[in-house]
Parts: sequence; C-alpha cells; structure tokens
Amino acid sequence: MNGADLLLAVLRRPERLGDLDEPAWDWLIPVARAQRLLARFEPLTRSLGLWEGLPERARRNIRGSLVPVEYQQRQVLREWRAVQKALAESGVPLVLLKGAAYLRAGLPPGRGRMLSDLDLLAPRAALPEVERILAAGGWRSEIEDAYDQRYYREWMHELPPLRHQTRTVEVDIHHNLLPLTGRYRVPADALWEAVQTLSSGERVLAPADMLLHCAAHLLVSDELRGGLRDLFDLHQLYLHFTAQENDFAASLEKRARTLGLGAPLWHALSAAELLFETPVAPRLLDPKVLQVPGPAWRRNALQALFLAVLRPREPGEAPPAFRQWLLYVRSHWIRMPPGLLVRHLARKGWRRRQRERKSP
Amino acid sequence: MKVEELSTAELATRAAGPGLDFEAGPFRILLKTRLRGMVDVFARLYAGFPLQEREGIHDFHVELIDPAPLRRRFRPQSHFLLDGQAPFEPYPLDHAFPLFEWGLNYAIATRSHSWCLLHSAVVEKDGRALLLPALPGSGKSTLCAALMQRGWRLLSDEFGILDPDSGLLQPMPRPIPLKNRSIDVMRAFAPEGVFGPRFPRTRKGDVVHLAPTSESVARQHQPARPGWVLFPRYRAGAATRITPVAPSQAFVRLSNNAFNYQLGGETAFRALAALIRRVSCHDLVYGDLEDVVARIEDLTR
Amino acid sequence: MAFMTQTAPDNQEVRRWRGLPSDRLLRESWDEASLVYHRESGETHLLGPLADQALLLLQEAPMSLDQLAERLAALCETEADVHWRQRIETLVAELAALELVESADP
Repeated sequence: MNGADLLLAVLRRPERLGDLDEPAWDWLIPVARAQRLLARFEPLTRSLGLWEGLPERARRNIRGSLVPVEYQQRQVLREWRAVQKALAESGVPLVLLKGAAYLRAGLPPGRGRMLSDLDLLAPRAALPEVERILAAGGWRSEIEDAYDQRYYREWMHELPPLRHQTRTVEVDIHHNLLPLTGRYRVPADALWEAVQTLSSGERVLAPADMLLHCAAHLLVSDELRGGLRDLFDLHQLYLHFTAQENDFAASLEKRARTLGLGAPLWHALSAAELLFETPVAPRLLDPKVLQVPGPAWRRNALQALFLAVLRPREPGEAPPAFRQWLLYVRSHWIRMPPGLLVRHLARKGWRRRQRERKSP
Repeated sequence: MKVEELSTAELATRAAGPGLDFEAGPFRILLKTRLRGMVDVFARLYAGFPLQEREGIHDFHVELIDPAPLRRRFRPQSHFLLDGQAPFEPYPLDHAFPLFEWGLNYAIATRSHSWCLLHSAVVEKDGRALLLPALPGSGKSTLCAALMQRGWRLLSDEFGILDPDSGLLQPMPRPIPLKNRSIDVMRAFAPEGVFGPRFPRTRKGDVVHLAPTSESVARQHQPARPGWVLFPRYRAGAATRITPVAPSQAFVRLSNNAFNYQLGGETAFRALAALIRRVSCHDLVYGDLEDVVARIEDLTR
Repeated sequence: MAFMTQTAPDNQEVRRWRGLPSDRLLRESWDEASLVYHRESGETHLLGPLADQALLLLQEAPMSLDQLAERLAALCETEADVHWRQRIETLVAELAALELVESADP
C-alpha cells in the first residue's frame, strides 16, 4: 500500500486513522499534506475519540498543519465582519459561499479546512453599489491589468477580486455560481429563493445548492490541483445532509434540474462514489436522471480525465494532464473563444509560476 | 549506531538506497542522496549523530539530487527536494551541503507550527538557556559558536523552539554556518573545533560549518528552561556593554523576529509572555569574542 | 477644536465608550507597558501606561470622554485642561481604530 491508497482508505473510513502504524503514517502524511487534507485529520479523529491515541509525531505534524489553517480562518472571518460592517447600512444581502459558509454553518467540511479567500454572493444589480461602498471603505481591486478586469466582468460571474489596503484576505463577490458565458446558466433568482439564514443572521445557500455549488466549482474551476480536497468536502456534505434530511437525494435531484447543474453533479458524485465510497443514491449516478448531455463516450472520457486529475499521487510523481484538463474546462464549460483562451491560460500559468518560485 | 561508526562508503550506500535516517532534536529526517560529496561532508559534520534503525515517522523526507547528470560538463546542479517537490532554485552541485542545511531550515520554519519558533540562537549552561535573537549585524552565529566551544551546550544556532505547553526550549543542534570573516575568527578562537570544508561564493558568501559538540548532540533530547535573552550586536572594536531591556520591549522584538508568531495566535501570545516573565533581558554590544564570552559567563553565573 | 461646546451638532460629549471585555482581549502587563492580544483580529498591540490605564478604566465601566479624562487626570495627578482632554480624545480614537474599545451606545 502506498500513501495515495492509504489516503483514500482513511478518507473513506476515518476510523482507520486509529489503526495506522508509524510506517503507514510516514507514507500518509506527505500525501495528505500535498492534498491539503492533513489538518483535517485532527477534527476527524477527535470526533471519533482517536486523537490522543495517535503517535506523537503524527499529532505534531497534523497540529503543525492546523495552526496556519486556524490562522487563516480567523483572518477570513475578520474580513467577513469588516465587509458586513461596511455594507450594513446599504441593506445589500450577502450570502456566504464555500469554506466560510461551511465554517459558519458548523458543517463537517469546515473543520480543519484552509480558507483562502472570502467568497460571497450578492445580487447582480447591487454589484456597482457594493463595489463603490467597499472602495470607499479601503478595499482595492487586485487586478490592475485591463485585460484581466474585462475577463472578470465579461466572462466570469464576479467582481475582480478585492483586497483591503491594510489586510491580506482576498474578497471575491459573485453574482452567480458559474461564469456568464458558460454552458451552464444557473438562474440566480432560484438560489436566492432558497437561501437559508443561520441563527447568527448570516446567510448561506440551501443544503442542496451548497452541494451543487461544490460540484460545479470542481468541474469548472481552473484550480483543480488539490481538487481532491474539494471532492472530500462534497463527500462530507453528502453524508451530513443525507443524515439530517429525509430524502435529501430527491431534493438534490430536483434542485440539480432547477439550477441546470445535473452534469457537474453527476461527474462529482460519480467521482466521490468511486474514490470515497460515498453512499450515493443510485438515481444520482444515472446520467439520464441527471440529464447529462450525451454521447456516452464523451461524458465517460471527461470522467476519466477528471478522475485522473483528482487522484492523489505519491510525492514526486508528475502531475497528470492538468493542461489538457484546463483546455477542456475552458473550451467546454466556459466557451471562451480559442484565441482568448490560449492567451488567458498562458498569462495565468506565468503568474502562478512567478508566485511559486522562492530562494532559501 | 552513530554516523561516525560507518565508513563513508557504507554511508554513501545507505544514502543512495534507504536513506540516512537521523534525528535533529524533535525532528526526524530521512535524507537520500547519490551525491558523494554531500555524503562526505555529512559524515564529518554529523559524525556524532545516531542513525535510526527502527521504522518510524519522518518529519522531513529530503533528497539532494543532481537532476541532469548529463549536464555535468556545463553547469552541474544540486536540487533540494522536500516530499518530492523542489521549493527552490537549484544550487551548484558542489554546494549541495549548504543547500541541504538551508533547505532543512526552510522546511522547519515553514512547517513546524506546533512549536513557537523564535529566530534565535540558543545555548545552555547549568540548566538555564540563553537566547541570542537573530538580527542583521548581530553576529549571533559566531557568538553562539564561540560559547559552544567554551563549554556551553548548543541547542540551536537558528531556532528557539519554544514548547507552548511546557515553556521549555527544545534543542536541535546542527552544524553552525560561519560566513566570510567569521570563518577565520572562529578558527583562531577555537582551533579544536570540527570544521567542515569551505564553500566559496555561495549566495551568502563563503561558508564553513562548525559541527555541534558531542555533548550538544548527546543531549539533543533534553529541553532547557529559559534564563536570559541577550540581543547581540557586533561592532568591530567596541567594548562589551550589557544594558537592560524592558520586558515589554523584549516581547515586541522577539515577536517581530519570530518565524510564526502571527500564525500562532493566542497560543503564541501566551507562550511568549510566559517566556518573558521567566527571563532577564539585555542588549549586548561587543567587539571581542574572548571578552564577551567572559562577560556572559559573569552575567549568567 | 470644539470638544466640550454645548452647541456641537453631534453627541460627542454624551457618547460613551467601553473597553472590550477580557474574553475578547488578552492582556499581559508589566510596569512600563502592556501587551494586548485582540482575539478576533489576531493582532497584538503594545500599550503605554496611559493607554493601558484608559483601557482598564473603560473595561471596568463605560464612560464618556469627559469622564475618562477626569479619571485619568486624577490618576496621573494632573489637571484635566483642554490639552489633556484633547490628548485623551486622540488616545480613545486610536484605541477605537485598533478595535480595543468600542462605542457603548448603539
């Protein structure tokens, strides 16, 4: 057994973390760390009463990974409070999305999960006002390049990312879950109709919508490196909501139809079922039920590529097929004109490589 | 079995196969390399370190490789790999050992957040630890090396590893990098020291490493209670001067200098405050090693 | 600067301030200064004796700038003249910017 297999095995059944010997941990820790899942072993084992029994060096490494996660969670929540305060008088409703929503709603994927940015949903008509108020409050657009500004406003579904001049957290304000020009047009009104309010007064998406957003983001995101982490979020959400609600599967199916996200849901749930043994209701694995467009060979090819990219690898193993995946995503889901697509990918790739190189 | 009990041929075979498995304080490292030069230097500077025989968890899986041996003729390189990834630009092949040392420091500084990591040399005598925070111009590595060669136990020349639960400082003795003029100064000050080879014109200048004393290595699992903080500043020709520093000032300076104070949140705040309450803090200006060592001995008697 | 004038259009003279309670702030004090850790922001602040005393008083009970200026003047054995009040006003503004004190009235 190697680290990648071990990782999948413990994510399927977290209680196995209590049975691992030290050599197994030695395989597991680097792979889990690379997939941004190491920190989650603490909440997973604590809830099973296994944490104290883990080897000390394992606990130290897990804890070492959790400290920056908790720091970043504090920073994102601080940013959220500041944005809420700035926009309080305007009355613009805001919905928390993704990691911050999981955290505030007390959902399992929130625990030990690194949050990078603050993702929010606002009504499209309110975006200019939101932008104006935040600019007045000290938030600045991260994107100076005119090309990128246009990319965000015309092609994507969000304001260009904002950052407050005295802080570090990026604020992404979306008016929909998916890009405007994509194959999948989600009716934003439907999202708003189902929005739920926590006891704190904060708003989050309805459970089915939250899961559908997770699935859609997985399929459409161009940050699929580390997508296993997001797939695990989906797995945890599925388990949690099916335990909480009667016939969650049926409402998920119905909601997928309403939002037009049957295909991403099918791909994501099929992948979760394969990799994590998520007990997905059989109907949700049927491409006809979820109205996944044909032909079968094409969706199966996409699924194979998706799985190849998601699978965890051993440290040092070459990452597979990211470029093909990106090209597919951009052309298939987002329908960006090819010229724009190639230039865009080249620029993003360049910027990422600049950020990643360091010297000791 | 200690490193020095194996021949360099045996060490090289191990390094090229299962790896050199050793502990540096709280960290267990697995080092794999086929670079013979690297192994030779390791053999000298890590001579007193025990090699681990049992299986176990490693905190760091490190490889030093030459990624393109066929390029040897043009510009041979060494890469530092951590968990199979190269976080840095490569170094010239014959600078593999300094690359290893700095790479390992980087790995420790960026991952070991269950500890509060101060940027400080730490030495210990008679059960109390002395912290020498790092600042440009402090000369802390040279001063730390000098104290070690005069009988102080080395905990670390770079990391004050503070356990937030116990309040104790964890040792992690490793070779001390001496740069440029310090090299000759230390050779004169402590000719009995175990010095490694000179690596000329690295990114940080000429570097020679001084091996930790055998006592330091032997006691690498014995934490120490903090006793003093001396903020060192080297000034050529200056007379040794020790002046008190207010505790709140010391807190600010140590927190600004630490590797992970911000990340640690309230745990770090409490741990650092507790440390400050246990120590006596001073500024230290010095220009002569013999004199400053003697004055430090007086202060900490 | 109209600090105390009765004709000021805003309610500055009746506005009260309070210090954040100790479950939101951690404090470590020494003779010469205190260090305060603000839990929500994760920021650590160094407070000189006057700022620290102001924070302590405002943690004990909410009070207006006037009341605070009086109390601090008494503790420092000085007169609560215009300059002093100005100084305290600036101090409270700084503490508020650091989120260590907040308005006590909605």
